[in-house]
Amino acid sequence: MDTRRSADSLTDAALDRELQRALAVDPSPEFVARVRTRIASEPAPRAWQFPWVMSFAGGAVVAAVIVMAIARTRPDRVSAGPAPVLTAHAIASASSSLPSAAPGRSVSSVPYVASAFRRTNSASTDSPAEAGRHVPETTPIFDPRETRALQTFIVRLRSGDVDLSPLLQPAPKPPMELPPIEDLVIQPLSIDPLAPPERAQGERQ
Amino acid sequence: MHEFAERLAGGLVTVDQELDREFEARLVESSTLAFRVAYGVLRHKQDAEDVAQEAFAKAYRSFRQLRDRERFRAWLVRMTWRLAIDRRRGDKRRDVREQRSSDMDVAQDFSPAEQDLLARERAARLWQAIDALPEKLRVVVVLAGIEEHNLREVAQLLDVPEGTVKSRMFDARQRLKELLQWTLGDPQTR
Repeated sequence: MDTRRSADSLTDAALDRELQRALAVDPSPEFVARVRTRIASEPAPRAWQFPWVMSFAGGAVVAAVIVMAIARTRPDRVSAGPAPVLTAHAIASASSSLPSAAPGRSVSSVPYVASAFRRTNSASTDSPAEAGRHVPETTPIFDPRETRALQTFIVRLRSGDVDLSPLLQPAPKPPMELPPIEDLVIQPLSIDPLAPPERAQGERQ
Repeated sequence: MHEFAERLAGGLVTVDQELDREFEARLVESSTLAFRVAYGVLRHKQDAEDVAQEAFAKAYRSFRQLRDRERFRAWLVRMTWRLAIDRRRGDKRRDVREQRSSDMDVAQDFSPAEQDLLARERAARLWQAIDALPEKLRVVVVLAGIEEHNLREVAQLLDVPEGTVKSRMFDARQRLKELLQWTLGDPQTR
């Protein structure tokens, strides 16, 4: 009964007393001396303790600056993107430099789209907003002179300077020149009779 | 030039000496605290002294940032606790040593009048209950049991709000009571 009552009376104060008693352990008398000996072998405290986090952050910043500097010095390099593909592009962008076909009518207003194959990495730059963006230099397949000639030809064709209607009409068939027909003369075939040779083999004796 | 160098060297020596004096004062007043924190985890005197010594060595290396007394004690407590936890986890012979140390240290720490079987059993069960607590609650209990720290002091040492310490201390006491209800009673009521 007495034991049960004492067990139920575990109060905060009793618990704290037990804890303090359990932790009331002192180090050995030579503990401080051993720490002093250990400290004496340590290097003196440094003036600046640079935390490793700061070192890491500084290194990351330096690396980022170097990468940005390299990227700026190579503007023609396209860093990432799919493999070059053959895409069709309108070549009408160069038509603005062509002479206008008729007064008051600009060439660019002509709804003309021609296509040519060009090796490029960029998307179409037809819109004015995209025209300002950097477009990497590409190597055209067609000779620019040929392109200009073709565009000029098309413009003049539309303006009526060039008339291709004769080319579109079927040409009359030229008369076939045949040699005069002549009668075929066939000479009569003459065959000489065969004469047995004298004293030929097989003569009866 | 030579005088300037001597004065500069003398100034540096003075600064170093001042630092050493301050560290010596911190060492004297905090050595027991660091040892008991380590002992609360390891419960082995020699291991606790080794861990506390390592914590002081680390504190000395960073002492320029720890010259404030309260900051030094808080840093020392957290570092000692962490080192003790690491040592305990890394020691594969922990179980064997704990059994041995509990038999040995309890006999050393209690007065001759209390060195009976019941006292050793009570201490062993108390530590067993403390070990069963989560680490956040355990460190609060240990620090509160060392040098009769109050909640505000424990909060300063752990660098957490006082309300957090109060809440954790309440939870820890409740769990310890549940674990020790039939084992420990108030000795004064016996």
